[in-house]
Amino acid sequence: MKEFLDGSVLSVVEKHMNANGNIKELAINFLLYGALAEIFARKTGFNRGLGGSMHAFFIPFGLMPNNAIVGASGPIALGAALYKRSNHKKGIIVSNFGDGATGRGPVLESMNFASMDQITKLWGMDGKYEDGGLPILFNVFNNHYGMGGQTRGETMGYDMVARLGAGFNPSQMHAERVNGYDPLAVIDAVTRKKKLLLEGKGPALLDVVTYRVSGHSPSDSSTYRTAEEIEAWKNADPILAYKTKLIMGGVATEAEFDAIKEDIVKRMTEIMKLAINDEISPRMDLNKEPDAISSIMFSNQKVKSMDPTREADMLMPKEECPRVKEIKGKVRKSKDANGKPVSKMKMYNICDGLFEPIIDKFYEDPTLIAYGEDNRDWGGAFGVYKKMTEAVPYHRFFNSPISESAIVGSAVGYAMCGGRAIVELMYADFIGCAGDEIFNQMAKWQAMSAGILKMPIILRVSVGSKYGAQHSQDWTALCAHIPGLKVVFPSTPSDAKGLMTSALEGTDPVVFFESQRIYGIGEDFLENGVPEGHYEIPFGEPDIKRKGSDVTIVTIGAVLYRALEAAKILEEKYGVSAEVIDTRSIVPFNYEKVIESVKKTGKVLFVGDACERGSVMRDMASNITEMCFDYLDGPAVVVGSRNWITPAFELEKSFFPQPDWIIDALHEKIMPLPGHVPTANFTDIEKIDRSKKGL
Amino acid sequence: MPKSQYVDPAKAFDAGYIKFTDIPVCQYKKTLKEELKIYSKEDMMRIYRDMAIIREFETMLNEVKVKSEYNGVQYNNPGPAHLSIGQEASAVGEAYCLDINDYLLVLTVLTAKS
Repeated sequence: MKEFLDGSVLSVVEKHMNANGNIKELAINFLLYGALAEIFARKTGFNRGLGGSMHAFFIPFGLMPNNAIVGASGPIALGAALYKRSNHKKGIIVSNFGDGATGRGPVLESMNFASMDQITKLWGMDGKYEDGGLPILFNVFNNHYGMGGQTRGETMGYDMVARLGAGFNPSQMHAERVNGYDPLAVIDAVTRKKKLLLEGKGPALLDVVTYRVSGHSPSDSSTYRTAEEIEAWKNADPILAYKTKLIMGGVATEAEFDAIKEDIVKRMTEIMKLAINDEISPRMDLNKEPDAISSIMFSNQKVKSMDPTREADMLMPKEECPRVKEIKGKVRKSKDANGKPVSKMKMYNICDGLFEPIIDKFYEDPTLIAYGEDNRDWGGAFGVYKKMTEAVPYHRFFNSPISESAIVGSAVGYAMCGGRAIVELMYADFIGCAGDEIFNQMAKWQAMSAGILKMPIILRVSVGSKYGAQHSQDWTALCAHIPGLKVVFPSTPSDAKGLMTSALEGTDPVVFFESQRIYGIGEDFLENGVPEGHYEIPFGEPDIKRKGSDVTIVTIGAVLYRALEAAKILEEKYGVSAEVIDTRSIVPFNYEKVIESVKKTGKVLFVGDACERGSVMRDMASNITEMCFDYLDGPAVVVGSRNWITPAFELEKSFFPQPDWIIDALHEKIMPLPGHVPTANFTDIEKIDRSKKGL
Repeated sequence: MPKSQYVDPAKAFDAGYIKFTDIPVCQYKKTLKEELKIYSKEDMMRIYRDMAIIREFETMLNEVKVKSEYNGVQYNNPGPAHLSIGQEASAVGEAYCLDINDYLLVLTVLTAKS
């Protein structure tokens, strides 16, 4: 309490309330005041008023964040349980949600993920590590309604929530339905479930039957239930019933209860007065402290190991890891000393560039875990983790179910507890399957917690090609749009290694884009090849991949190589010298290098594989137009994919930007090239027409 | 699929039944007398007080929201208030069992609702 937010919460209750020197009383005052100040958006709240009523939490007491997205705490709780299990920590996780949330995919995904066979069958197979199940209790406060939808009888078909347990594993999740109107019945059940969890028999499920006589929110006029029903439940009031039971049983007298009640009302009134007092509980003043929120959007720390006190669990010394040995024998450039192309088998490629810092971090940071679909034996669909199985134990590196929400959401919970995770979505298109987890959870918790939480998560997403409309999309713009995420997209082995190293040293959530077109490509740019050992490239710094003086081509991702082809044609055929700048990072991004180049060339194109409308290229072009208007000879031009579905591989050349499109765009929009006959249409008339049609 | 686990076609089509066991529904039947062997009077009263604190906290939020006043103190709270009056026994019963090593993840203010 003393250290929390530099003691700012504690000092209010210490100074203005009398706890009679009793630490427990002080803690109650602290908890109530911190929560209320948070609800009233005060700077002295648990999260400086940035979380608000729907997200209040206090981690030092084990109270993890509330979530305003129904069911979103399911995967987060799963991640917390993974943290306990993978790091050999004591204790259990309780995931509370309502009966309405049992309709949410992420909740059901999490129950399955927590139940998966491998945890008890495979994770202990090396004989070195324990083999117990995940210590998680899925606890449903079953109050019969979502907001107004009645679960049993209307929106669900399970009759009783507890039935769900039977669908997930042979132990039926030890499911039970209990009377949530009797605290002693609840304690009895939770005590038994906790024992099972501590014995390694998790997960467990409780269906705690209860009722809210209040509405879902003040706007709830209870149109979905009768006054008679509310009245009947009011008559069954659990607090009154409990009190009556104790009085009837001779445990305590009415007067003793009255004294308690009087004390509570007094305490609550005091706390409310403190929380609404603008001097004692001020709001954040964004005029006086304009950077108050900016400064917590990212934690921007460098932390080698999230737990330097422990050795990392590994199955063999690093030198013996088969993949490490294999990479040792590889040529770290695309061409040998004589300028001859190195064979694919011998060439250090982007997969190797990603693998090297990851395996290093597995040995350095005991909390690091990696998972996703087909990650372990397969080595990830594209072989980044090939032959890593031999070195990393199951509890740190495993195949997840095909549950994108649970994959990303659990990484968020894992990071909240103090661990570091690399999770993978096989195709960038599956970002849609984990939308809430990426955009609301991973992105926002650092700032919503007023900077208390760190989020060292790397979400690897692979942009496909050849696989048509639902497996070939570059969704960098979606991720860049959401505040709180760092977004990078390397396209060389060195950049992949350098950016992965930076991502792994950092404490912020990173969406790490990779391209399936170029996993096998070698290092073309660094004269001495991909650097050995620790190699970091700071986020945000674009890189000039080709020097030039007449036109600037800025690229995002794998399109770099098509831009270089265009530059070559421009040089050879038209005598135009193109400078090619690879953005590498999207968020953060330092424009200075691009501005410098545009001042020199006066002409700029932004090229990427994303559909052109609303793309990162559009955003960058607009910014450069604002910043370089006086230096530009023509408009900043965007060359992106058509605003279509991605067609079949055989038709891709009509969809993704090609070298000649870049030349055509330059010719039509900025600088006519003598003798050039364009094939693509970049004219204004065409643009207006396409836009009218929504294309 | 790990190589350590063989998927055997000879067993994949074996006939049989999936068996379920009974899921207990509100089977708690202890009397107060039995519970008094487990809990002291102090424990019992603590359970009451915690429930009453939650009730009062939420009552305060509700009154502030509805009447802009609680116990004579006036305040206007423009933010949301998602209350769970009635669910206190479930919340306190659960929290009673947890200790410093345990983590609790919740959905809304003091107890989960939706």
